[in-house]
Amino acid sequence: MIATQSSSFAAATVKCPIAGIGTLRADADQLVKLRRQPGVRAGKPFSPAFLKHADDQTVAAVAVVAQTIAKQGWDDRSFRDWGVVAAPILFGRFGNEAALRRFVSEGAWGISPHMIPHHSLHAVAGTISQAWQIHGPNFGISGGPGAAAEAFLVAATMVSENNLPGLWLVLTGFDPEYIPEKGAGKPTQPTTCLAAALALTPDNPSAGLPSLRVGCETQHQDDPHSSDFSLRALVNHLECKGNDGHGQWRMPGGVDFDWQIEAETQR
Amino acid sequence: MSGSDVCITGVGAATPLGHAYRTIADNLLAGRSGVRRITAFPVDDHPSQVAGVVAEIPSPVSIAAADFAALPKIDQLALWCCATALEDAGWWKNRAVVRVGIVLGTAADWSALWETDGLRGGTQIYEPQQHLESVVHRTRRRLQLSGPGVSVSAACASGNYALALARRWLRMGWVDVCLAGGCDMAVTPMTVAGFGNLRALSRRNDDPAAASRPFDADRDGFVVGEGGAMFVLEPMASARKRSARIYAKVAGCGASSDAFHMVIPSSDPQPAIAAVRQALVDARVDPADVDYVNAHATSTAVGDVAEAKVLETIFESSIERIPVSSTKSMTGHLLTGAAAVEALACIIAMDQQAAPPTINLDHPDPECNLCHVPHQAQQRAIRTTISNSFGFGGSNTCLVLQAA
Repeated sequence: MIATQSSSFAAATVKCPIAGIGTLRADADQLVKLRRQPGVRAGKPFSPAFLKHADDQTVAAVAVVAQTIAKQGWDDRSFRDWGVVAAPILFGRFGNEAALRRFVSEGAWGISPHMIPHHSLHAVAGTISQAWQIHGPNFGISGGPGAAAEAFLVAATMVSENNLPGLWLVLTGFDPEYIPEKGAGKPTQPTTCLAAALALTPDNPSAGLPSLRVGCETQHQDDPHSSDFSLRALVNHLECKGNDGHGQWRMPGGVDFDWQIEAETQR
Repeated sequence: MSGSDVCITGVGAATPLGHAYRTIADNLLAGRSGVRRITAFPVDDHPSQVAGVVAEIPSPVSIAAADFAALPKIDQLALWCCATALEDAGWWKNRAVVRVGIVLGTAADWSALWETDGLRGGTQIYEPQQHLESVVHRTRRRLQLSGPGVSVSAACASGNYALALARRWLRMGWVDVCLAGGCDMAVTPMTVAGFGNLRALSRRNDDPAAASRPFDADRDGFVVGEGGAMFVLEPMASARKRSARIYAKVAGCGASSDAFHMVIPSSDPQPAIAAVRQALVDARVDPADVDYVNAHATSTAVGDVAEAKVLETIFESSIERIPVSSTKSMTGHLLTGAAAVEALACIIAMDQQAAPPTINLDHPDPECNLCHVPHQAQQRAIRTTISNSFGFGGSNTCLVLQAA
């Protein structure tokens, strides 16, 4: 990790290598399959029950981490002391809709005991931690539409501490937005669950890896609703191999968020 | 004093024990219970019918009472805590001239919105919501703050993560001043039902004030609560320069994960031990020098015993003399708001030089062989405190606060 004073930012800019990148796009049918088998860990398949009660975004998050690990050839790698930061968008909507209907018709008895553990904001990061025996910090970010941008700020904060060997930054959300059809157990229109996983490794800044740079400019106070950061834009970029990417997006409330993925760190 | 030291200069809270610092301190040290029978909604078919409930949240002076009353409860709570913390710190009138960030521990932002609206017959869960702001950004906008805002969720450990991130933002220079803490208005029909059906809650419905009994052999589950606390953090040097009241130094933070189960604490105490050790090392504090431990202890058999083992390992023979209490015995378990309110309990302990009690501790569980503070507060010299907060998803956190 390198924390520098950048000319374009009033305060420290965090730059760290990205050791692995993965993306996933899963429609409803694919999510059903991924729920039973999201991939492998340490060369072995997951128990089919591991994600039985999980939200669809948790399913996608576990699958994208599994795919990233497989792609990097890290099956035997230990992530024991890593951290996990997960930022789902409008998390738990499907489960909440079903729970709401059951509560209205059946009362307190109708609420599943799995509702709170698996459909609250901590659930995605907690499940990833459990899946790969990650004993570093794990927590969820935001849960709202601005989740992805908030997650980058928090991930940069975490890696800047320099006390973790790595950090999984996992972003998930539906595109288009998942809007449940009342009582139907499905969305009003077909939707795709997007997921991105970045394996940030602050301890290895000169290995020729792509890097992530995050800065934070706080001088803007214009449109309070302005936010052009989108998970779709990020996934599109990450899937466009070979191209450097950068952008300055605005978080809700007027905080500029600068990100840059460079092909190499030594420039 | 180090140049990177960060301290707390403002406090804002709303809890089952009150919404003013003085009131909360008085009630906490008097051993009063804030647990009541739930009256906000019908509970006859709920297994657990008691909770630590916040009385009406007052409107901060900056917001018209009628406008405030129309806001969702979680917005009221966050606004009250943040505005009063800034006022308390002396930053309210000057908040526009510094970059004030906000890190809010919260878990039920959207699900609470969907539940509240849905149970009133609304249809928000069936409507597009990509354009909506989270509570942290609504709060940030209403208070006209210019720094970044994020919300974090590690269930009951959220508030400690918020304080750790805020301290880091100050050290990185991303903010000049930062609000941090946790807020939760979880006493809702579906949340109480969910925890009840998980068989996590006390069913001592006929005696609400006696229902939350951490470390007691007769405990039968935790009592859900609501409320929160937000703190103003700023560099120690700038706080001293402007002669601000310094409540405490944020001396150390530690975090780990069980990686074991989404609900049940690990039978292996090592991950939780690691979090506490990390916080003490970060604070450069020897375990023997800790003067008070605010335990996570929720009043569940598995959790209380697991934490007692952690404390016995960390403190070795010193555990016989370091007072340990669980203020959840009075507030109930404030979930995402718990860590922040328990940090406040540590501040009160240092301020008043008294360890708050664990009420209802009539028959200490022999497997929790600690230096308890049963029933009544104990006057003690307290300069260094730790607060444990563990959460669903396997999160373990520890916060070290020290008198400045």
